[in-house]
Amino acid sequence: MLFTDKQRDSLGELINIAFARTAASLSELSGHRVLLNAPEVDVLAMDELAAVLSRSIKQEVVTVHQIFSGSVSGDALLMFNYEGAVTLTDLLCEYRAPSRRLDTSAQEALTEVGNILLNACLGVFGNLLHVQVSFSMPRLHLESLDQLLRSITIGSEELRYAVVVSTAFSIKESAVSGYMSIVLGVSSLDRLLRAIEDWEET
Amino acid sequence: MLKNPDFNEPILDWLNDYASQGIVTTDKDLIIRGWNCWLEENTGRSAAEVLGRSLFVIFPDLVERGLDRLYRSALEGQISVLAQRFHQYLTKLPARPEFGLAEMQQAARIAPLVCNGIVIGTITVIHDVSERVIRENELVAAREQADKANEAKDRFLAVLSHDLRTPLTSILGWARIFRERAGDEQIVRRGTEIIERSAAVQLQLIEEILDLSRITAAKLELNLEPVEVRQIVNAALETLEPAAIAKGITLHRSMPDEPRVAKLDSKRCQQIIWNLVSNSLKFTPRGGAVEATLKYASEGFELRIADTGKGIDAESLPHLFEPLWQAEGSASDGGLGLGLAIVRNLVELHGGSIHAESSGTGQGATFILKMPWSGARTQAGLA
Repeated sequence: MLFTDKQRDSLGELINIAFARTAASLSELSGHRVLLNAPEVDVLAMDELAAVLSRSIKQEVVTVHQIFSGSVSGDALLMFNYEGAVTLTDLLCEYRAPSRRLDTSAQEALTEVGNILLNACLGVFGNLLHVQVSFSMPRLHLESLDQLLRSITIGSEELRYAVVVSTAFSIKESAVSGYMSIVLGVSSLDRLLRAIEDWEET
Repeated sequence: MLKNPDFNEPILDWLNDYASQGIVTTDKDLIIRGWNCWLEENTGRSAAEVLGRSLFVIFPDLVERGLDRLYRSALEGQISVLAQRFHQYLTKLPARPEFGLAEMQQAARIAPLVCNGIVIGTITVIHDVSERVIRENELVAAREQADKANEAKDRFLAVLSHDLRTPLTSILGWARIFRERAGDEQIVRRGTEIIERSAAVQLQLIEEILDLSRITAAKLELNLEPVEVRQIVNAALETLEPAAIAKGITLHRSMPDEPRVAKLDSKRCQQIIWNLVSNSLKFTPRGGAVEATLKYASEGFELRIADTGKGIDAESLPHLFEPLWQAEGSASDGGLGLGLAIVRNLVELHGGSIHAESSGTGQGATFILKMPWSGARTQAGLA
């Protein structure tokens, strides 16, 4: 993919703005200081995405999935392995005993976390592109990585790329790793990268 | 896909009348434009009363709790999920009385209403998730209880193996000494006493375990017969007098003058009293006192065993009669922590009750046993 270091840095900077907003929201929500790091930002072709995600997600993947549409359209995903998802919700919802499993209320809480994060990121992109993006209702899926990737690629006619951000939520001296991914068609990605270049120049 | 020009009206009617969620719609000024029957029932406010009024006037707590920002986001096109676990509820509504909750637990979705690409208002869907939350909390509590029971079992096995081995080690040691010094009469006398004492300790441990096992399996039958209450109490106290004297503890007793007969299992009743008094002796230091006071009442008799011992902290009081439970630091005083659990079960089998009182550590403790005149068999088993 034609993705320059400068574009990568700028994209990272934008995502960091969104992550800082998300961390502030999650800190307020949980009553604990939440830090959200975005150490690595990359753009990958869909077939490369599986290889990257499978490094840390071995079995079931817990995904908060939100579809967005407008002048830029695609799929926004926040992904954790099962243990990571359980740990994160237990850390954030401390008032009750650790559940050690993802019950319905924990799934709902994780959906809200994903919703806040994805809204913040897509909001930053929307502002950048000066377009209003419409969102679908966020959904939480529990499935294998293969099933997840198939569900994203099915029905897409154009070549798709994924902006992948490795994330780490730090709460109360614990860290939970996850991935945020924004899957875009080649034309949407092209628009996004051009907008980033314009943003750099202003 | 629900949208269909022929059905839109009836679908809306259905959502208004029968939806099991609260649905409120507003225009872009957040003036209420839709209010379904669920909301009428659960807020006590009719549609006529709220339509045309500001959402934040009807639900002022949205602003107080900073949730009004979700509506501003919705007007910018964003959808928000509100999880019960973070917020408990979107707006304060009463829970169904049978749930015993202060407020209805809710999950909510707040979304923009979009027409031809333009946001024209908002829609909020409120789910009552109280029942689910109660079920989940019960599951967590059950799992915690199971974990605690497992820990108690592990602790019990560790204490059991230690307590069973200690007297055996002594018996085995003395058997070896006998082999080598069989002719030494003094050694044999001393050794025999120790072997007898060790075997008695072990026998009591095994009997406790068997008793608890019988009670747990509801296989323990009471042999109810008319017995004179003072005699039972005296018999139990007499067997413990030597132990009290050896430890320098004064054992007082106070009893009514006249005899009264109760229908009880005398052997088990003695076991109850013996356990309570020996427990008091165990936790009372040299120079202290244990007092047994018997009183008659119309429905039965009451026996109070009060000591000047180490007392019981408030945290431990509710757990005293749980099987395998021992207060921090009391395990070293010997015993498996089964005695009081057996007592409670035997008392309950008689249709009686037992509880303990203490003003705290170092303040002594009092065990209050209440037994009916006629011991009725109640459900056996450990709570």
